[in-house]
Amino acid sequence: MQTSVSLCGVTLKNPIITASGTFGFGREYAEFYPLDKLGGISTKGLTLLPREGNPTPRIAETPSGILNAVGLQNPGVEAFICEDLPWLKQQGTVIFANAAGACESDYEKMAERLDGLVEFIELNISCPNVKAGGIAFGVYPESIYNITRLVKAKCPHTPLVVKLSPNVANIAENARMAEKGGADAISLVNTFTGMAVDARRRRPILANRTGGLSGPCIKPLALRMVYDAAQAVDIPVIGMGGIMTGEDVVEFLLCGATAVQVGTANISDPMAAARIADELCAFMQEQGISSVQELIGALKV
Amino acid sequence: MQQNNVTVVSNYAIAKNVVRLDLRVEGKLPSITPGQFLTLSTGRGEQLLKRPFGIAAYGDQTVSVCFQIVGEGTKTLAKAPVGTQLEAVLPLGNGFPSGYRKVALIGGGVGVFPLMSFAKTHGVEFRSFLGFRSKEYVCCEKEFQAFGALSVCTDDGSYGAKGNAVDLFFESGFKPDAIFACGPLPMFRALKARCEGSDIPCYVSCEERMGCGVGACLVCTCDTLLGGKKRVCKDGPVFRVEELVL
Repeated sequence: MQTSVSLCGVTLKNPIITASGTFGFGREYAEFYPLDKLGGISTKGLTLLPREGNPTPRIAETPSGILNAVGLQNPGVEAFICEDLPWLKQQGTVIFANAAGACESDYEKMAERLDGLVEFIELNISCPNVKAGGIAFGVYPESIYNITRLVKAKCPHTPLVVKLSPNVANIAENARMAEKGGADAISLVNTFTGMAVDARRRRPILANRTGGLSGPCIKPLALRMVYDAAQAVDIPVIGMGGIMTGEDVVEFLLCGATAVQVGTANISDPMAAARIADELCAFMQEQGISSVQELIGALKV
Repeated sequence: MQQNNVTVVSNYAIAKNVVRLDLRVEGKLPSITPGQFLTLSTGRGEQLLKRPFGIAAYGDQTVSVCFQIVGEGTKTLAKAPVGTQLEAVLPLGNGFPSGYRKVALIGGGVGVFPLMSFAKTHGVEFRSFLGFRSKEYVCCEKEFQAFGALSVCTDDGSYGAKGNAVDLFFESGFKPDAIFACGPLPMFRALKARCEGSDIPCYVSCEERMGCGVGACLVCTCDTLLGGKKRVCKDGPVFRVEELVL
């Protein structure tokens, strides 16, 4: 039974990648299972300088979901390279360094710094562009084309995955623009902007007021977007949004994803990603599927 | 730390709006130190997050938690019948430090429960000072009396002395090697102020809204004076009170 997938020339032993922000740099979950069970890990979002992130509360539970507003707390790209990357490289899984920034030159510097050090750079463009009134880089198609083009020029040795925001008018158009800008792959969806309110205290639950919604409640929204994006581009698509089981993984593969990311499930269940990898195998066994390739884009419409 | 299947073996009220759950753990129970906590699923599928609770008691195959019913998760757990199967991740956090011979335990309200876990600690003299809102909230006296002297007070004087646990401790004249405390923020602020300049180290067990509970997602951070943001679930929940921005 063949679970491995090839993504931009890199082989992942299975399509399961853990999503940025839900897995740290892997150390905590390595206490639960060996990380070489996973196809890949996407690191916590990295910025040029260390960031402290938002005041708490940073999390609110919603029906079948969570809202988070961590604010990109991270030790900065230099500390990651010195203190976390060497350990992570020994864990036997593929590394996606998730990179964020507040302006174009931040992103360019991040790309330059990470080029050649990891198997993939995943571009987090859900960050507000401080020079464009705070509108996220990943909102408008022209902005996505532009930032992808600038970043790709600075990381010629490393495949670039552009992570798309779902808080947009036209996901297919945005996917096309990422491809046109030179993205080697796209990943979607990032979180949906939402709010939670305490009815008795009459206040937002999150200190930041708004946060990003993730978890099973967004799966139908994510599946639609992954399908539309996969139809619109030729580059590989990494799908995510509410995956909790091996069967959920299959749904995303059928919609055109070559690989998937598992995020919120890790927060609910520390064994989630390893369990989901096993469930995918069990599903394939049960259905007599000999290779995951049979599933990718196999949705009958 | 590990993920365990657990079964509810008993579920009963111990005070107004406060419930105790005794859980039987399937498989080998990892070794637990006092002050550590666990996270527990609620049993309702749409409630994704496991809830964090201080470990109040533990045996060879069981762990117990006590909690106030404050929200959707605790409401669900309070109704869990005997036999309910849940998942727990334990033990979590750093726990209180060992090595002290004379310890004052200061607990406020639901903060008393993690302090109950010292019941099996040998070779240490414990004196407990517990404060509750009023008589209907007082609980766990027998458990604390079993391993040390106990003084109880209530805010309104309806049971025990009138006042709060911090005052009760300072008025007692007891001179411990360390203070271990758990309770609401105003209690921590009072302790921080009164322990300033004292050579008695004061450790407090904190809480914060949590996500993963294992140190990866960074939602449960607290501010420290010199160390930036720390994770309550992993770097804590126990911190030296002077370290914290309160």
